[in-house]
Amino acid sequence: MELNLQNLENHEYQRVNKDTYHFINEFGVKYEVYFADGKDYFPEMYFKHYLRVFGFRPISSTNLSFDKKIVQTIITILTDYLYQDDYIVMYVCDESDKKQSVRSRLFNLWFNKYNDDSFEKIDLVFEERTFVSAIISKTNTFYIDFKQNFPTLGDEYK
Amino acid sequence: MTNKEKYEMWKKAAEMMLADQKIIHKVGVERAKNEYGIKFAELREPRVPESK
Repeated sequence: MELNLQNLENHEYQRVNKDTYHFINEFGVKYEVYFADGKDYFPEMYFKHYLRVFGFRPISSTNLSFDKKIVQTIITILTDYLYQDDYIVMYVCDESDKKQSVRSRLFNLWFNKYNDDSFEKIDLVFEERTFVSAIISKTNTFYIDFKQNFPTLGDEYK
Repeated sequence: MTNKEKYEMWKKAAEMMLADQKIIHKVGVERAKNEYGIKFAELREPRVPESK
């Protein structure tokens, strides 16, 4: 099962070195995309070598004008990476400008729009401030074990 | 592992991810790797590079 990436109109992106993709949006802003190694965050998990932390940032300008293709480029890169192996991709929403909840909702919209039910996204919110999510394919070898490592956020933890 | 232990594990991980993300977003991937020891996954060449 695979998402129909042919329907996505993404910006052309390039691997500029072994750990970075770059793309340029229609306003001329260059973005850097990366997948950090996630094993040090969960040293006890036996599948820690498959954990990644996804992120991207503008690098050529502080102009954050957004075009539709940025979303589709991010989705294309993310999906392509998830299909390469049993990777589990996590991300944490930037808190530097206090807009982390907006980012979380925005990414949720993207995920629901482009996911064809192949993937599951699991979200956690800590102290109504820190938003962290993980995306995993439902056919991932570690799907059940990974989900079992998630807490149920009851009232005592909010 | 209890639910509380899972919660603490994820909370600690999220804090570490945020701290690393701040560094990456401030100095970029290359310096984060070389100067701060943050590790990154190796990427393959794009499979769908063309604009449609």
